Amino acid sequence: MVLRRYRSLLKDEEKARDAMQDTFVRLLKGRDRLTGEAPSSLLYCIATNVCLNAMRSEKARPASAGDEMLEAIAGSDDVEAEGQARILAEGILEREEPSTRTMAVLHYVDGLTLEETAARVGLSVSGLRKRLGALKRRSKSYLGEGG
Amino acid sequence: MMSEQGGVPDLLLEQYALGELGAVEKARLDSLLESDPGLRARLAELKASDEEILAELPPAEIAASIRRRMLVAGEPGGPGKGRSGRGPRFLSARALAFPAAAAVLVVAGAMMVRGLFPTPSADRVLAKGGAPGLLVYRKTDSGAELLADGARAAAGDVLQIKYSGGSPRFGVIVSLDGRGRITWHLPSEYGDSAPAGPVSLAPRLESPGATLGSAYELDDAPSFERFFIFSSSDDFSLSVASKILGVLSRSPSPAEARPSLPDGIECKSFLLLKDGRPR
Repeated sequence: MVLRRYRSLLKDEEKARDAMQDTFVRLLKGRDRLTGEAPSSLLYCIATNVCLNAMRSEKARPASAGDEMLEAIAGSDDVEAEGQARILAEGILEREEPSTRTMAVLHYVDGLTLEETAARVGLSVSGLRKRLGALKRRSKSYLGEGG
Repeated sequence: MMSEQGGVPDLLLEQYALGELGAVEKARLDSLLESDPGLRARLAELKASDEEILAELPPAEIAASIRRRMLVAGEPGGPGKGRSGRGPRFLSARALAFPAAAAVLVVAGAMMVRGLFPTPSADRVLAKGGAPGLLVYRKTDSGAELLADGARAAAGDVLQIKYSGGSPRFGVIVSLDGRGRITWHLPSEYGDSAPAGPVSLAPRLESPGATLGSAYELDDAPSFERFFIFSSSDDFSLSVASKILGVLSRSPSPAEARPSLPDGIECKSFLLLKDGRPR
């Protein structure tokens, strides 16, 4: 699942394999604080966040449908996510939330409903809506719909 | 991501396959799967993809690679803490309280790759364009020391092995001791046991090299411990290395004899002498 996620977002097999291993390294660094609940949601969110950071730092250009939105989310000025993204990259752990950008990808790009997204990032629907609303205001050109 | 038809998101399908969906979501997908052949096809593709990935990237190899990355990152142990049943000679960094030494190893290794650690041994094994070579470190009270080929060693010495190699290659690291016993270091799953059958293939070596995920404690086998790295640009069966060492172990001077190699296989070795001359 993790490798497929990286393949889908990074479009580069070598980078995908490298990122996959890096994800587990980061996860294991924080293993003492892992809760053991919903490991797939956890890994999926970490992978998403790592991809967003890679796209942001390398200015990678995604190439398929829906990727313009992904690129916009990756490049959004998500100030609160900067700190959280770092935390997430070190292992999304108990009581730590995924970045809003990751939530936005799950909802806007992956197509999860608000309820499905909220369940996977540990927020209430209203809390998620609020976070996405703030991000949407900073990324009006691509995120004008939904939410 | 989302399906082309805008249907069930990939994550939900992944979690369905993993059995991690809640009862309500699972019931919804059960119903959808009954009525939607396209969704059934996606689920079948996902399961087929799982099988392909597991065949292409064996979990044991990935786990070993992750352990190496943890070690390089200064994280002792890794996912295999408390290694399973491969004899007491392989020791996790955590079990050895080895983090400081591991950090030293990483730093020392990086320096040598840049040519800033000009011991004869390092120069020899890191020669540009050559086959992958071996570096062997011994734990000391203050960190680790790089051993020279032919150095003296003793039972109880804790060793850490690093290999170097430039171009993409496949390879294995094995050692032969004075009792004629073979120990597998890369891949490490086999310990002192011979790999099962010809289907077990040598893993791809990392470029420009890597430190093995487990330290290794020398036992009381007499005379010598000789480490080998067998490599090739093509993948090869572990049984190839077994056969080479089997022949070598029966030679008059296994500590020094040159192994007989099949076409396409290259080898470098590293000898540690124990309590006297090799037999």
